[in-house]
Amino acid sequence: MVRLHSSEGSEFEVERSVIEKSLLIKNMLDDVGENDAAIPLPNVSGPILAKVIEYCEHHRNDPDVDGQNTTKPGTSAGASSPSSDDIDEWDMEFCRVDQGTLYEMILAANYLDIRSMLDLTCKTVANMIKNKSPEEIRRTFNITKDFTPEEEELVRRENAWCEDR
Amino acid sequence: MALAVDGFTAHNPLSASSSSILASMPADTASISLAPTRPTTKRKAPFSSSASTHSHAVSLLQPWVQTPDVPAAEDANTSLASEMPLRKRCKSTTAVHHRHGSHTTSQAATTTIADLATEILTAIFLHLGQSEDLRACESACRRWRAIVTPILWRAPQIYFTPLLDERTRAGKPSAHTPAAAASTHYSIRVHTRHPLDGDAIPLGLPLATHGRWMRHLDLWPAYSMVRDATILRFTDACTRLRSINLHGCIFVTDTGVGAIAEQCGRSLATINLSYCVRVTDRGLGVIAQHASRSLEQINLKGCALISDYGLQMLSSCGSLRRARLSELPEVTDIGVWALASGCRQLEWIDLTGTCGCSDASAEALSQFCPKLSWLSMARIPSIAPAPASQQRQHPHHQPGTAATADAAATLSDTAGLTFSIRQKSAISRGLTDRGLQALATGCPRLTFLDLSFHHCITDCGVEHLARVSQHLVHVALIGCTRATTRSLYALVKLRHRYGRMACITMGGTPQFDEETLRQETAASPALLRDWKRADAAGYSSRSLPGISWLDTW
Repeated sequence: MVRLHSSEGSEFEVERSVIEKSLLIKNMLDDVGENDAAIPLPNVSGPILAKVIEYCEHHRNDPDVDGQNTTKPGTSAGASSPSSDDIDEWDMEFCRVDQGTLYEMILAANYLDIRSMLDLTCKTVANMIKNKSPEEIRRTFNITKDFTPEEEELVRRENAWCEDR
Repeated sequence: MALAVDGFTAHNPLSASSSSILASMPADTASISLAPTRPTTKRKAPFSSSASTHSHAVSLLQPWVQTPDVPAAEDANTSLASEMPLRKRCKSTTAVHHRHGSHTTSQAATTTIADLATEILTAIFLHLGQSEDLRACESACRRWRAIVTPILWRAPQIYFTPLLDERTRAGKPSAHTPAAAASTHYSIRVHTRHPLDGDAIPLGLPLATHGRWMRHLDLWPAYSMVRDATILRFTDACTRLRSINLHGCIFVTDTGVGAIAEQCGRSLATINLSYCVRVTDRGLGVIAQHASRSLEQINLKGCALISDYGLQMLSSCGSLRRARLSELPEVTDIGVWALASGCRQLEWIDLTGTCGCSDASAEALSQFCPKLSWLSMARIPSIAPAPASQQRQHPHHQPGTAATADAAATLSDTAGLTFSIRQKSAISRGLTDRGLQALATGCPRLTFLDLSFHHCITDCGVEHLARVSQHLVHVALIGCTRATTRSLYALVKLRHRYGRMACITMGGTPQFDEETLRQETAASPALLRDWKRADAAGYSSRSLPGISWLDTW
């Protein structure tokens, strides 16, 4: 068993095999070896850590994704398929949270280096973007349009170059 | 304003913790994020009636101030904050959330999409899969634009007005270079109705601003207009190209190719010069000189001026994996030998229609290139003009299908199949069993082997091949007049033993008409099916699963 401390100090106990989905913790355990000290995770809050553990528990038997040594999310996304339609039901339900939690989950997955979870959460956000107009996107993500009129004109003109026929 | 936001961040435990997560990201990603995405003024809060942002922020802050464990958390975070060089990140902390989920957690109130690091946003955008969605993102806000533009402009396809037909009608073009296919790949298609300037570049194409994002450049849709000047304009702006396709750009000379090599040499991995008929050994030499570390794939099909000397210079590219050298009449086994001895990573080489299809080349490849998996040494037959009475449909063009008794008779007439290997008659013997045995032994990973029209290959050689090469998927022996049913049996046995063999293409010879084959393969109907498929595909486009690279070039 491994003990984890979330940012507020609440403690979680998980099996080592489960939490080893997280490369960060796996490497840490490999380096330090098994001992009783709890692992502090100052960047992950309690509820988010609970979600992470829920994810790892459910996916504990999944085969490891290849290329474990690549840790950057950018490269991981590049390697996997770009389509974001193939999310299974449990994962879909797992990601049905409000936006703030979702982003926290992304940040946690990135910090803990759980590639499959990072992929899943990124795909979920991508699905929220799909088939929307810029205005709808801004509304969905609560983004303020910060273009000056000139810049907007520039974007419009550049986009004229990429029109699909 | 930014200061006020920052000050607020420091007192808000959760956002501080999230920004410390950001702080743990690599520094370069933080430095890329350009603009404040969400200025805190003039924002609309969908679920809040509060007019002023500040008061709203405070109201969000309240629960935190009242929770008992705040001091501890703050301690932890202030200690973290000291190691936070990236606090300057533009982020807004007063988040108002569009809650649409069912299980909302109480702490989520302060993380917004603006808190995600640039590389995470990039990962998200790469999942979009459609350039329409990407363009919508580009118009959302400044920061998103800064992230999306490089993705969009990585591989533009430049369409010029009169040449649209083939590709535009075929719908979305697929990734057309292997390098591009391997990565997530969006292509924007440049609008067609812009008039061209003197250098044949569409007026107003934002090369100066966006050229540096381009990684893949495909100029073949405009092949008839591309001049050296066009290429110079592109290479001035696009200095980090990884692949460039100049298929059929017949006006491009060594000057243009040299410019590509000099500007993009360090990053250039793939270059397609097929049918750039004016490119000579000199141009190839410049490429070899500048891109010797990076070049992985080269296509020189039909560049008739390239000779052994050019290949010799190309051999300095040690990481070359794929080379298409077909239809190069000046290339002999001397050039192939030089290339093989320098490029030991070669996996894929097409020597169709060169004078390098000989035992010497086969021995060079078997000696130096153990990784070779795809090899075509097919010769291009050209039948001597037959007498008028014999000008019938020739089975060489449609192997198998029309091999009726008639055609077979015709063939028997031309039993001595006059191969004009147009250039050097000295090596017209082509590959013999000796070369084939060397190949089979030296290159055990061969999956595709095309030995068509090598009439010196006999059953003996093919049987040795079938004994040694376990990975074979496709063997083509069209027009190998001395390979008989014994060869076929050997290959069929290989198929039964390893189950990999998908296609054996034989035919174009009197002994293999369809009827014979039906009898011979009665025990193995699947083989006949594959045979038919190979027929349907025709000799020139052997499209097979697993050998798709052939189609893309």
